[in-house]
Amino acid sequence: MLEIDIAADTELGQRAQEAVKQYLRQHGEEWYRCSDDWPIARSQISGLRQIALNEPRQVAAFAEHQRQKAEAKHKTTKKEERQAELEAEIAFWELIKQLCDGKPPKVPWSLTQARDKALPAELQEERQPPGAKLTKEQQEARKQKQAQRESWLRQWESEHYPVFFQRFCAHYLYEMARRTRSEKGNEGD
Amino acid sequence: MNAQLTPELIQKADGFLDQDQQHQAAIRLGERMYDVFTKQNKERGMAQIRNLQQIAVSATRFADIEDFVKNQMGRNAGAYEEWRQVGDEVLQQLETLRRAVNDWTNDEGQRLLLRLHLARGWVRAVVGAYLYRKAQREMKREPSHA
Repeated sequence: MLEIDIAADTELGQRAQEAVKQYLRQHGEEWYRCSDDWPIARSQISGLRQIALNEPRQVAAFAEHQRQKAEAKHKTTKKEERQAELEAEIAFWELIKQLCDGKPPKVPWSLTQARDKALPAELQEERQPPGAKLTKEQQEARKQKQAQRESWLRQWESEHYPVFFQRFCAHYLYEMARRTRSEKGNEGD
Repeated sequence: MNAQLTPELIQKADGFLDQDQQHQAAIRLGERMYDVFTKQNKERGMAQIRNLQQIAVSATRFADIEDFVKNQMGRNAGAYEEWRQVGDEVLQQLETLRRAVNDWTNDEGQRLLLRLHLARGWVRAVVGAYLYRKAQREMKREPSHA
């Protein structure tokens, strides 16, 4: 059994679900009757999950790109209803960015914060006093440590991002389903 | 992490599943799933219940079982309508299992193993009830060869 299995079942999973709930408290309108009404389409959720799985480091950039696209549309649209939809979409991608690398005090928890907290003490970066000169051996040791740290960070991200966004996306789809129960979809599996 | 379940914890979990209330709830769910899933398409129902069983048996995280149900409910193709009818009940029963283990141990590793142990026992009861209902219905329909 791995630590990540426990995290998925406990804190990480709870945070993912709580993030969806919080978003929907602010932007989940009662009038959503079909999934087309929702600010984020099923295909976008699927894309988010896929990126988290394959390229965890790209999630924040992907969210920022999506946010910018929505913001550009928002600027050009004059319809009030569409503006409200786009505002909800912008808020969603802003939330994803914050969940990835939000910083305190504005964002009390993010994956980056959790990752940095979990980084073993022996891999923490040591700050050199200004003007400090390192010997060749010290420089080599520093390089090695940096490489180890980078490898640890990548490993952590490759485990935690997919798990977090798997839970996040499943819960979002679930909430979408609950609120659009009577909707007819496509046939076939 | 090398958490292990003690015989006492396993006994507690099995005792929980054997409680009348738990057992009956799982059976009712299995029967309901049969009724809902076979209303339109009999093969689809069997595939769905086997998928649920497969996930419950192979999962290394309890959350994977919950996410499977949520994903099925969240689709807009396949058996999503049926899942939307039974999904909340499935999730509610899973939540009951999730909560039950918290009183038995404080070790998160053991809790995870207990949740998975409960899920596997629970899905056996659900699938058993589903198959029994299926057999009953088929026996009613088929003419007797005796």
